[in-house]
This record gives sequence, C-alpha cells and structure tokens, in this order.
Amino acid sequence: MLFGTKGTSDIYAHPLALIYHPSWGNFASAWRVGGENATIGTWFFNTFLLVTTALVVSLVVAVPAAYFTIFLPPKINQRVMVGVLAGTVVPTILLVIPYFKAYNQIGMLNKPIAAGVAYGVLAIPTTFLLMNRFFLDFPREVLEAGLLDGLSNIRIFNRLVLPLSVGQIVSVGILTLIWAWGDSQIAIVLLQSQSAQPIAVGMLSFAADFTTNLGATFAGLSMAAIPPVILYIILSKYVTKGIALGGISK
Amino acid sequence: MKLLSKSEQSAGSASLSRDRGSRKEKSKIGLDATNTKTAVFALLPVFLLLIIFLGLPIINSLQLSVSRWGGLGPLEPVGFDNYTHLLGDEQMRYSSRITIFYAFTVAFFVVAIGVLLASAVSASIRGHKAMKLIWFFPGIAPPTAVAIFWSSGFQPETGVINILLGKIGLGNTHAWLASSDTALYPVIFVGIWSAVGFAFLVILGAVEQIPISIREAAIVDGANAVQQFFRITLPLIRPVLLTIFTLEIIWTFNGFTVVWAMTNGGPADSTSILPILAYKEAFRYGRFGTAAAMAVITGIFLMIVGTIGIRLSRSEQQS
Repeated sequence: MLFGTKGTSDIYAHPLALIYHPSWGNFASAWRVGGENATIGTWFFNTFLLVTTALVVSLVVAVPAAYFTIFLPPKINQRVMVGVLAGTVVPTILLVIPYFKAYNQIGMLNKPIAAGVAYGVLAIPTTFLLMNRFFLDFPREVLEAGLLDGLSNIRIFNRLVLPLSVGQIVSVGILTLIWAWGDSQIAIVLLQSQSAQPIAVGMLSFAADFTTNLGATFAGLSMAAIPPVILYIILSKYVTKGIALGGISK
Repeated sequence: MKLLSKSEQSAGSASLSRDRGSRKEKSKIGLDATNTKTAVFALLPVFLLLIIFLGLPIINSLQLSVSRWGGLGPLEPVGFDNYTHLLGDEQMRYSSRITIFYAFTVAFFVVAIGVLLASAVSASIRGHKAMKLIWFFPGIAPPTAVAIFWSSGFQPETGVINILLGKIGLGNTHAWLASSDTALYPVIFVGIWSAVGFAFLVILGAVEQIPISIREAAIVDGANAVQQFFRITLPLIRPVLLTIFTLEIIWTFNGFTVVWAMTNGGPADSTSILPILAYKEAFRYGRFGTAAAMAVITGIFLMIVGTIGIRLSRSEQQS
C-alpha cells in the first residue's frame, strides 16, 4: 500500500526503499483517470450502491426469518436448516449465465442496485444460519418477560431481541460486506458497461491502463482496499466472535 | 463468505435438536405456539428468493447445457452434444486437471500454514490480538486488488519477488506469468496468500478450545512442544481441519477473481481453471450452451467433494 505514494520512477529505481518522497499526486491522478467512461469515484459509488443493497436485502429478509424459525418444532427447524444449507454450496459459475439471461430479459443489466439484489440473496443462507444459531442461544427468560408484559411477538422481536443482537448482526453483515465488496464474478457479468462497474471489476481495466504508471495503479489498489480494512479494524472484535460462533470450531 | 454454513451441517444440527428439546420443557407459556404463524410468514420470502435466485437458475443452467444458445433468441435443443464435445476436448481435460491441482494444492498449503500459525500464536500469549488482526488482513483486502498487486510483484526486473531473488543471486529476470509452463505457480501462491488468514482464525479457534488440563497433563508427563503438537493438538483439531480443507477446496475450485485478475486465464489458457474457461466460453465466444455444460460438470464435481468432506468430518466427530 505504501507503493501508492511512490512516484513511478521511484518504484522502478528503488522498489523496496521505504524512504522516499511521498507524492500524493498518485492518489489524485488515480482518482481522476480510472477508465474511459468512468472514474474510480464512479466505481466507488457503484460499489456503495451494490454493497448497501446486498446488506439490506440479506439482513431484512434473513434476520427475522432466522429469529422466528427457532419457535418451530425442532424437526422442522432442522429441515429448514438443511434446505438453506444446500443454498450455500451452489457454485457461482452455475448461476451467472442464467442471471445474465434473466437480467438481460428484464432490462436490469448494468444496474448496480439490481446486481446488489443478487448478492444480497446469495448472502441470505449464511446470514440465516449464523443468526439462527445465535437466536437459539438467546435467553428465553427475556422473551417470556416480554410476553408477560403483554408485548406481541413482533414487538418482542423489535424492542427486545433486535437491540440485543446488534453485535451479531454487525458481525454477519461485515462478512457479507467483505464478500460483496471484493467479488467480481457476478458483477463482471451483470455490470459490463464501465460506468456501472463496482471497484472490484473496474480495477481490472484500471490495471491494464496503468501498466506505465505503477504508482497510480497502486494508489488505486490501496484506495479500493482501504474502506473494508478500516471497517474491519473498527469492528474486528465482532468479526472474530462471529466466526467463532459460526461453529466450525464447535 | 459462504463458509460457516457448511460446518453447521456437520456440527450444528445434532447439538441443535438437543438444545431445543431441553428448552422446550422450560418454556411453558406458549412462546412456541404463538410464534409458529409468524415463523411461516417470515420464512416465506427466504424460500421465494432462494427459489428465484438459486433453484430456477440451476434448472435453467441444466436446460442450457443441453441446448445451443448464442445469447439471443430461443434455445436450440441439441441433446447431450455439448457434453460429448467437452469429453473429447483437449482444453477441457487440461482445465479440469489444473483446476483439481490448483484447488487441492491451495487447500493443502492453506490448512498446513494455518495450523502452524495457529499453534505458534496460541503458544505465545503476548501479541495475540495483534496477530489475529494482522493475519486476517489478506482475507479482507479485495481479491482483485491483492491479485493485481502480486502480479506486479512477479514481473521480471521490476517485481518485488524478482528483485529479492536478484539480491540473493538467483537472477531477477523470471517472467513466470508470461510463460504457460510457470504461470500457474504465482497464481497458486496468491491463492494461498489470500486464503490463509481465514483458515488461521478458524483453526486458532479450535486450538484454543483444547482444555488446558490436557496440555498441562502432557507437560507433567514431560512432552516437549513438538510432541504436544503431534500427540495432542493435531489429533484434537482433526475434524475442524477436515471441514476447513473441504471448504477451501470448494472455494478455490470456485475461485474466479484471483485467477482472472492475475492472468485472465492465460497465457494461452494455461491458467484457465473451469470457472474461467466457462466464463470465456459464454461471454467471450458466445457459446452459452457449452459454457453451461462446463458449469454443470463443475457443480457435479463440487457436490462430490462436498459430500465426501462432510461425511468424513461427520464420522470424525462421532468417533
């Protein structure tokens, strides 16, 4: 990432030297140029749209479902789990061609929000399983207290359960965010025009254009990596916990 | 991303039913009964969306794989022509071979390095948190950025790796990515690099769950660090290792981004693993039918690997 602030000539002359004159101009030129019809700013904005949509879709659909499923008879609960699980092992390559065909038919190609819906739905199984696991361990006394106070089931969920689950929701959400931010396989098919691409796909053309300007390429790469890394540092406590809860270790 | 879910199957379901049984007796005021209806309503959108975005596309892919389709107009049924064509195709055979080689090599080294790192970190108490943070970084950085960064590192003369080799007298002109004989190795290296962080975290979680009493007993018995590793740590975390090994195979097998960003599958399709071959077949050459057949073959292979992996880790856990 340090390379981002080095001049191209500097990189070629002393690639490993840590002492150099930082030239923040690299960041400026990476920000401006990007591609033919789009700048790195456009790609950031598209990524933002895509990731936000994915998060909203996966959390809004999967979290309540994961919560209310714990009240079903254990046998049915288990069947639901298996059904959802099957959804996590489907290879992406099996999906992208039909996605392309369908999105093309309904005129939804090159729309970051529409692509974000696909990412969101594909994140539902993992979100569901992790949240379901968490809710199963949720103290029943709290729920029963709510019931005694005359709260309806939906109120119990909104007022008692959700506020107490923020940590777990954040941890599951950040896994979805990291994945949707970095994946290129679906986006490269559904968002082919350069002005609609997210940063993960945009960077590909970016690197090809910048072979002569390594400094700016690295500036671009680090700009793409910084947001998820910062989010991770801030929220790492949750992420580690989320993975432990994921149960591989249990 | 899709990770944890898999393990649920092996580890989760058994303990789940037990938990539910005991809890149910405790709650007598009918939380379950009143929520059942809501549960059905809440689950409805989940299943609808999964059917639309997973079920139907799979059926569609199967249908495409027995048709000819150029991207426009109706499908033209051709029976199993696509499959028979692929069976005899030299590139398809080559790609299948390297995909398997790539997936197994990456998964093996990821697990091996993950185990070594995890036991090293769990042994040292200081810097524990920082290590966790640092080793997971490659897992967060977008794979495209990681892949482009490393492919510049492998360039002759200007790449970091070549410069380091030059400094220790091994020459700095290796153009690994430019030759079809060697291009796969840098790709494997980056595949490992970007996957180790996650495996490390999961394995560390397992190592830390080994009860201290077992370790103390071993120390009292005079076992040294190496003996402790082979006699205690390794056998106890074996189920977790099997699960993560299976998962890594599946993810690497599916791994489009790293390879595409580094080589586009080239030079001369020498690094075209199956997802890349299928992508090119569809979106570069417009042969969607054969591409779908490739995808179906990939899917079948992954199902086999997944089933074997789950069976193995299940029997491990029961024994």
